[in-house]
Amino acid sequence: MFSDDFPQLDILNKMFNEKYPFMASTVSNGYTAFGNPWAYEIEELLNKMFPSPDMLSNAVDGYVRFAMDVTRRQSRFDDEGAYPQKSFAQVADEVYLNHDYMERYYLPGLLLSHLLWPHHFRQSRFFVANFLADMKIKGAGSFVDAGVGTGFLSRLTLATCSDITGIGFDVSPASQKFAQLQVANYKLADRYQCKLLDLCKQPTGVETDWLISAEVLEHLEEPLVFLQKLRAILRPGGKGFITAAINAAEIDHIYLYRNAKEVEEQLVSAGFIVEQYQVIPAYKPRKEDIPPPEVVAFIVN
Amino acid sequence: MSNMERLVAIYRDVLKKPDLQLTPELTARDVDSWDSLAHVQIIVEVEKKFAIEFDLDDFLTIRNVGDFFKLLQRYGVEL
Repeated sequence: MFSDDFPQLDILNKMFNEKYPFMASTVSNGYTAFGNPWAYEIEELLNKMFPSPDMLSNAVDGYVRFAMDVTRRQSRFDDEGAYPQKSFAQVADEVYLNHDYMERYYLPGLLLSHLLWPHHFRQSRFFVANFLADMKIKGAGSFVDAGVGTGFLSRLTLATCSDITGIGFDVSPASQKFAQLQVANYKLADRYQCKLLDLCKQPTGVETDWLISAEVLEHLEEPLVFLQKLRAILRPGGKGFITAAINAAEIDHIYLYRNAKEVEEQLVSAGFIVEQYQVIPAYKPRKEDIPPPEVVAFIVN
Repeated sequence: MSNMERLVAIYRDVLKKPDLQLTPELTARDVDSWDSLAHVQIIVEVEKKFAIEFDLDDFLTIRNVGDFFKLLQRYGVEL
């Protein structure tokens, strides 16, 4: 189906079909929804990050385990209406500082989800069309990515804006390493540095006109404190791209946002002005009274 | 109701196929409504009905209905 132009995508499709029949439609659904631009982007990602069959097979196993875990937690959340009570320190031990878990499941799973989950891919398109395009037009010289995760948005930014330099921050050594690896595999490492830092506790020593912080807020006990720190980093007249997950149960989601308005209120309370936003549900509601998970992205100044 | 009848009821309900016949060879490729969400929903409903909790790694071993039956037997469910 994809063999001529997208050999890696074809292998990915076959792996899902053979090993995980319940995910057999994952690739064809993505192609049907987003077409060649999506296929070229995921083909490049697979080539850069998982070039050998063994690496791709391990990434697929990690993705499936990650996706199954998310779906099972969401099913429990649908019944209980709350995330399990956890502290940030507990989550850090269980996830961010757990190298095996991060490297085998979390980071490959999250990275592939940026392209395989339609709501994640749509959000990255919103980022490219509305934030990166603005950075490019205005000739942005540098950016800060607070909470890099896999480094996906840092890499997109470096690849899109050819002269820009970037600094990323994260609390997880595994994230730091993975983000650096992704940027290096795209041959962008000379313009990027990812530092290990807890932004809620330590000063960054930087200011920026262009700030990115994607899917961090729901991981924190006090997201408003984090937003106040972000506001202090962003220079007057600068712009930020800040996202959050809503009603989305995951192993490391602590703070429950029940709607996009709650996120917006915290942004305003921290001193941001909302310029634009987009809310995307993960899927159509399965039952009328159970809201689906959503992602919301804000462009702020 | 036997354990097998309970299982059949769960599959039929989650997959919205009231006449579905379970065979060991049946896979998600054979049922159009059997996607990843439905797959996990089946597992979660089975966990609730039989008061068990699977290890997440067990999820990766299930290729067809027969694999799931074997897994259930490992967790002490008589079929």
